[in-house]
Amino acid sequence: MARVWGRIWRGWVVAFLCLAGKCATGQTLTVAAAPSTVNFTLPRNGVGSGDSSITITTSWLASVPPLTITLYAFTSSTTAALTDGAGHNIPTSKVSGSANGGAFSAFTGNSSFAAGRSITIFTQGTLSIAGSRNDSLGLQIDTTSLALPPATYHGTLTIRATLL
Amino acid sequence: MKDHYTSRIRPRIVQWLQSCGRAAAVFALAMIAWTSVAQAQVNSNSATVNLSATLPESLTISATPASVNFTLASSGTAAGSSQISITTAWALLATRSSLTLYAFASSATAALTDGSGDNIPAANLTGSPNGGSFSAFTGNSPFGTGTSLTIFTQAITTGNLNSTRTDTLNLNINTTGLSLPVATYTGVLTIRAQAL
Repeated sequence: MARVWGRIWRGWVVAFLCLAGKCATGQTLTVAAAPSTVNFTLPRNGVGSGDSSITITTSWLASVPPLTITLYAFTSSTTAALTDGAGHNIPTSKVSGSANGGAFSAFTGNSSFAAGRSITIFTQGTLSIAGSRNDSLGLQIDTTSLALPPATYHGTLTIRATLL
Repeated sequence: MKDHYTSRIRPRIVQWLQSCGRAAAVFALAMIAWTSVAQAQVNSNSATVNLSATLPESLTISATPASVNFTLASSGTAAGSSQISITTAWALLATRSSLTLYAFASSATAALTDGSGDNIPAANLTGSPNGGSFSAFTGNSPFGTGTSLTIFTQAITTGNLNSTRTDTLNLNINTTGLSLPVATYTGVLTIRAQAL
């Protein structure tokens, strides 16, 4: 009788651990953003807006609700979010974003991916194990007091989500 | 009685306790596994957007007030009602070496006119940049030959490729020798900069 019970318990443990492993590996979270490039015409001392807002699609398939999904955008450098490659830089504090038409915030926040150069686009708690949503992100660059010379400045914005 | 307890009941109690222990262990293991799964952070792929920002070369001038009034003497010098404040702002390529601001009258012979053939020539209109001495609008510039006054010339270096400055210009009109009739004389002074 004891051997039977032992086998049953061992079976449950193995089955549950397999299930847990399946849950952990079966979760997916993907982000897509368009367009691939946002252009700005900068004033010598003022604010320039991007020529288009970014549309971001976040899709998730998870096993263990409830979930919290957070979408971040972040620049590649605190001191040189954009650069002309000749030592003239636009810091991340001069780049700001507006999520879904809200107020513009500088890319100076923290995220799981980039400290001091991120903004949070959304945080969503959900009981749904699968879903997707679209968000928009408008961008601005403020050249006030930067005294930048005429040039073309390049940078990369990365958009990434976490599921917890 | 004791033999019955020892041989029959006690093993069952022990077996039952062992089962409870296993159940508790599995439950604890399950909770640990479930919690670890539930709390594991999943990161998405990275979507990237390229940022391309162009700051074009620019050179702009603004001047206030829009009008300067004079009460002319029948023969003598009259000062303008207010000095002109001129702000020059620029973002220049590193290939530039100098920046010059000019003011110039619209005509050498008729800087101001009453429209009836009575004129004040540019030679009788003088200006004082930044409180300096007055000079007649008889100089040359890329914009007005014989009708111009240079307000400033400044070197452009890597340290001031993007900058701004404010200057003042006071105006006088000297009617000495013109024998002008009583009238209102109007003219336009243009202010313009050039970077080389």
